[in-house]
Amino acid sequence: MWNRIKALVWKEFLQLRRDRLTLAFTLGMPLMQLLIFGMAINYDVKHMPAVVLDESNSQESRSFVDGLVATQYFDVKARVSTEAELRTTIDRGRAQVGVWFPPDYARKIRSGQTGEVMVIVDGSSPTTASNAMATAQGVGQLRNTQLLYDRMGYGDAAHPANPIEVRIRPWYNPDLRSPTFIVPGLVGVILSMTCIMFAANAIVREKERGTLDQIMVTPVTPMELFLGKIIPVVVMAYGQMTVLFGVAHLFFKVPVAGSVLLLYGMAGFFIFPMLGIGILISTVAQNQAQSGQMSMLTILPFVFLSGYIFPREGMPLPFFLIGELMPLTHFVIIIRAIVLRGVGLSAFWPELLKLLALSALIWGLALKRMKRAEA
Amino acid sequence: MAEPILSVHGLTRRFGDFTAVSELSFEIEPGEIFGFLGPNGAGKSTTIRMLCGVLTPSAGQARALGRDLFTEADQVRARMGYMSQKSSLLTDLTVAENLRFFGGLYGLEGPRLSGEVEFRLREMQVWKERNLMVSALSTGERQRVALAAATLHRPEILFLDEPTSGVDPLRRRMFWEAMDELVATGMSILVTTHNLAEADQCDRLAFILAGKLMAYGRPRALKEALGRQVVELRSDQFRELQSEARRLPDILAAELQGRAVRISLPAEVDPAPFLARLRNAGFAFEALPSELPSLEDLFVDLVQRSRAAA
Repeated sequence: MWNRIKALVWKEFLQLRRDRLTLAFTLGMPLMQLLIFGMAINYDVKHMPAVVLDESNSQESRSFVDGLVATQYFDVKARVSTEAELRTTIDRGRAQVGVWFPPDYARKIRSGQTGEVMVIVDGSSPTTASNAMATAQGVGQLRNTQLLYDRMGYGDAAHPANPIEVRIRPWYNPDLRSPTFIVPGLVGVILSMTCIMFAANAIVREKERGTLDQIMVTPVTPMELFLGKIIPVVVMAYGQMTVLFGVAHLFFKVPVAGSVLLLYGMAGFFIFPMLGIGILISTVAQNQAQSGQMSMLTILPFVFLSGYIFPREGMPLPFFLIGELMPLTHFVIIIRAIVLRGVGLSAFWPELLKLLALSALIWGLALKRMKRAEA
Repeated sequence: MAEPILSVHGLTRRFGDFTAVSELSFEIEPGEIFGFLGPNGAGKSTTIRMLCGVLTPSAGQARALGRDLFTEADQVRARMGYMSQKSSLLTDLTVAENLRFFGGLYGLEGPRLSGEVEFRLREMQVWKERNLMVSALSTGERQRVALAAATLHRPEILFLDEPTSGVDPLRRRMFWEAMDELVATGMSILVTTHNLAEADQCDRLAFILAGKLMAYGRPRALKEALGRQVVELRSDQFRELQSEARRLPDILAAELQGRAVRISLPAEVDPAPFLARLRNAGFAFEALPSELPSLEDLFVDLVQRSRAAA
């Protein structure tokens, strides 16, 4: 039995080695995604270009701008003297934030009234905009406190002792870094793609080329053939996962907080239903082009509804429930729990149960379709 | 007489309302080349695919090597070989890799596998090509590599489905020589073809038409069973000669073949008086000695009879 499986596995790897395009795809795509998410996509927007229109030209306005710059979220790229200039600077995209002090800004503060500062934000990119708004609000609050202290004559106005200080401690990902958040989910997405696509293709390819008959007449049993097709995919999936975590660890300092063994074990529970989906596709698709398209169509909603990128908490109920039916959703929760929070089975066993239930459902369907295809 | 190495009884396969193979029964003796002859779509491939266990039969039994082919397939698979109509080799592997792969599926390993691979490739005269990709081979080379792959595990019965389709006559002859060598080692071969010249080289033949067995036996016996003789007449007036011959009594058929007329007469009739009557009618011709009808004559006769029956 094992020498026949060995021959099948050897042949799959030989074919894979010859298929440069697929090989490049297998290794290149996960790394590319990692690099894109790790480097280019940064939810944590710092150094936003800002333009200042300071009609007040006072010590008060200057210290406010200094406060903004000190947060590192703003870089003053331009100082302008008219409203029209402010507008064109933002219109042309040279600045994403405009800070505008009216002429009476300092006078109103000194006379005990409310000094108004207008912060204009380029809202076309919501993440950037909300970051800018929050930061500007924070700086404004700080100024307020200082000024109130000053007016009331308490203590040292430059270093006021706040009655309350909210200290925020982001656990698990203390620097709120995107790669740390993205990598575990990305591993789940890559595993889905590899397992579904390669399992489907490995079987459809044989069907398409008519080589399946020649294999069926040998003493190979359907079970051996099946294992011979599945084992290479599983090996590849684990390989990709290892490379991804390796690169993420070396280049993006993404730590694995929990047990690596548990992580690899749980990945197995996820790979299994993904292979089932691949086999399900292979029973429908007639050629590799079809199976490729069907695989992509299956994976796309996984990416959007699993909570890998977009938080599921905000989704309308129907989409939330669809997400619930996707193995990736549960695996993303499990893998984040292990990698980010470093917790064990006791923290996510309900997700594991859901994963097992979905596996049973998918494999039940796949086996039924395979039986029908044989007859 | 030895027990047949393969015996088939009432083998039937239906696809919906269409009956592709209908109650086929035949036997193959050890060490013979058994030809399966019929036009495209007659059910030849379907039969072979059922015997190899790729397709489930709708009805019928088959025994091979002393086992039930359908219920004990696992015990006989390793002792059978199959080469399908479409090239079944993996085109993105080299010749040697293909053989190692299929050898591995038959449980061959290590030095024994390497030895068999080299032996078969040399035997089929494709040893030089061993490191070439199958996709780079000619059709003739591919067929010989496929034969090497199908015989690597030294099967006792070999099923060849149209092995020489699309191969030039020279390579076809090479292929048949290779088959003769395999049979000399005791292998039995079932080969399908629609090439009548190839069919003549078989030890025994089964003619199938529309899934039914029409004739079955040694080529010579099948020709004799037609009960005719054929005389070829060469003449410049071949057209007139044909019309005149058709008017004579006893004539079964008179067909043109190039500039000659092939006259079919009942086997028991002496052709001499027949030819004398034609000469008396004023025709000049050269008559070749009378001979047995060809397989083509048999084939035409079977098709006509099955049409008449339908």
